[in-house]
Amino acid sequence: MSGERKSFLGLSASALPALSRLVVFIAIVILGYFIDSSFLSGRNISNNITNASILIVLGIGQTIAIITNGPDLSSGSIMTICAVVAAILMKNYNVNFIVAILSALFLGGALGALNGYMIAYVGIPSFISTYGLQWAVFGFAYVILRGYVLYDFGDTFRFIGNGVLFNFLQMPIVIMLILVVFGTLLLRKTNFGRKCYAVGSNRTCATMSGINSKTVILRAFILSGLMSAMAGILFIARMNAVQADIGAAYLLPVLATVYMGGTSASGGEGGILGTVVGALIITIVTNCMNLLAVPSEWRDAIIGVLIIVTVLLDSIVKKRIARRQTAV
Amino acid sequence: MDRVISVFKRIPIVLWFVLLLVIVFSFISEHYLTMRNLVILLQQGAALLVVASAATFVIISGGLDLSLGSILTLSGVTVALSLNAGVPIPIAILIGAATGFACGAINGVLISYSGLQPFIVTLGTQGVFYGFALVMTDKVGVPVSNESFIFLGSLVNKIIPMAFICCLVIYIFAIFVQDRTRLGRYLYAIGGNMEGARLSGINTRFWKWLVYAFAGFLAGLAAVVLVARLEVADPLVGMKWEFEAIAATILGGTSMNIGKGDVKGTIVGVALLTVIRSGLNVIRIPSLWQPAIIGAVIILAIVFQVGITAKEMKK
Repeated sequence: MSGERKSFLGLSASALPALSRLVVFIAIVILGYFIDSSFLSGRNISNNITNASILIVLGIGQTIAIITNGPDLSSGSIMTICAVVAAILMKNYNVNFIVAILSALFLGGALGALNGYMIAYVGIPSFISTYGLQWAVFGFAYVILRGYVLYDFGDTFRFIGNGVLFNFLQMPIVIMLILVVFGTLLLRKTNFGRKCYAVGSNRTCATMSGINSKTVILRAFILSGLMSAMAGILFIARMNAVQADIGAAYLLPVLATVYMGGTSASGGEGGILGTVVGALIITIVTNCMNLLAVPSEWRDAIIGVLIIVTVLLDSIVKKRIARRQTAV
Repeated sequence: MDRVISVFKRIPIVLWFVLLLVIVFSFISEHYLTMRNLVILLQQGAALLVVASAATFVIISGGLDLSLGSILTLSGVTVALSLNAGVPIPIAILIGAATGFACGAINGVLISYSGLQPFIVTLGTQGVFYGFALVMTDKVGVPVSNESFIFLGSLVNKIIPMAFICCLVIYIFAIFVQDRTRLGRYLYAIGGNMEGARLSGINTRFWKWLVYAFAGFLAGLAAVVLVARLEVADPLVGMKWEFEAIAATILGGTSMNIGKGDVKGTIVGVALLTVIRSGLNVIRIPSLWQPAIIGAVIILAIVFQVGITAKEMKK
């Protein structure tokens, strides 16, 4: 072994996918600039990052779930019901906003635990159990809210979504950054994080080497549920309103975000910083679609194509790299 | 006596559950166990039977298709649009089936020939197919008024459930494909041991592709019957259908992991879902509550069924 193999422009093979993402990112930014020159104005950039924050927070949970076991397709619905519950507590029962946030987080954690239980202990594949839970949870969100729209929350609560620190730092960005640091440290520096990667890359092997895979999966999905709840809080604090279907529009984008960030669909590989880049790409693509006035019915289709193309390119690149390495 | 007991033991638990529910509902409402209501139940469950058969094929082969509902929608839209454009009925039906086949074929190419995970591909194409359906219909339902076409899904003389009869024919065709054709045999081989199947000379890529294409084809046929019954092609009609189809498959005893299962069992799962849905109306649950309750009940049922199937596997 002579250290890492240099493959392209003196970069190590593992840096190539990250580089390709950066190229895509810059290409889309340039494209956006040509569509509308105000695209690179300070205001638009700050708006884009703020909009990306909710996606990133959702994406952190999703990344942990995908690395450990598989996708959490219920994250959009958990986000919705937590937002709905927090809103109802604040509006109809005049509960203090901190208590409302804590109850929302508790609910998110509990639903995540339900997912984790079905996946780890009952043995239902994650994409079936979470997809099923999604429909049930959306149903309940609709029941609780009875199809109404709740709006106009207290000023202190809205500060979470609209406040500005030091005249330039939007609150959602601050919260997002804290959670990104938390998630990255959790995955990279803690025992639990290492176990996540181990269970995700080979569950049998992890179990045999003494890791309790079931609890690791359970905790990963609880974290995903908590992050979804947090995203829900950020959403209503920013929009100042809640409806029973707010999370539905996030299902495809959040998956696109995570896969675009280089987290492997088969688990055990990836990280949160990649997800941040992925979320920025998706947000800018959405921004471009708005500038171009793309009709809403095409949105999901475009994001769907984007997911497939990303994962496809990723698998092709990986196969190439693997082939080259075995050829040497 | 032993033979009687063994026959009873072979009846799946889910079927007992269906019977129990029917008895309970018929006590609650005297209208439940009438010929008229049963015929309506058959009509309502018909299309799901076909879509669930498609899901069963895919799941036996070790895959998953989350785009079945959107294929159903898109095929329904093409059928309705071509009928309204004056295309003769047989050709319109063919167009619907061909749309389904094409959609399934796209899934199949992406999954089988490029090795992507089924749930990613089919979630992505789900968005694409719904996008096409929405654009083609301009976001509103397309009504169908061709009387001889509507006949295919109607309740003739309020007693002959045409939709059910059509779907039963398709279902029997699906059973035939599973039991008597190469596709059926290779299905189990691929789902049980992909590498082993490939080494024994089966062109696994082609047959895996065909499984998805065939599933799409079945969904296309289901769309024809559904549009004929509803007399309208709604651009979002297929929402959640893939989930109910997968649920019916699992309740029918098909395993998600090891190429074991049977389209014949799926009808039991469809029966359970249809009976639960009708029962909620009988016990007067407001429609606002129904999606939540059905979702929760399905998840519970899947958890139980997976537990039972896992126990049987251990034996």
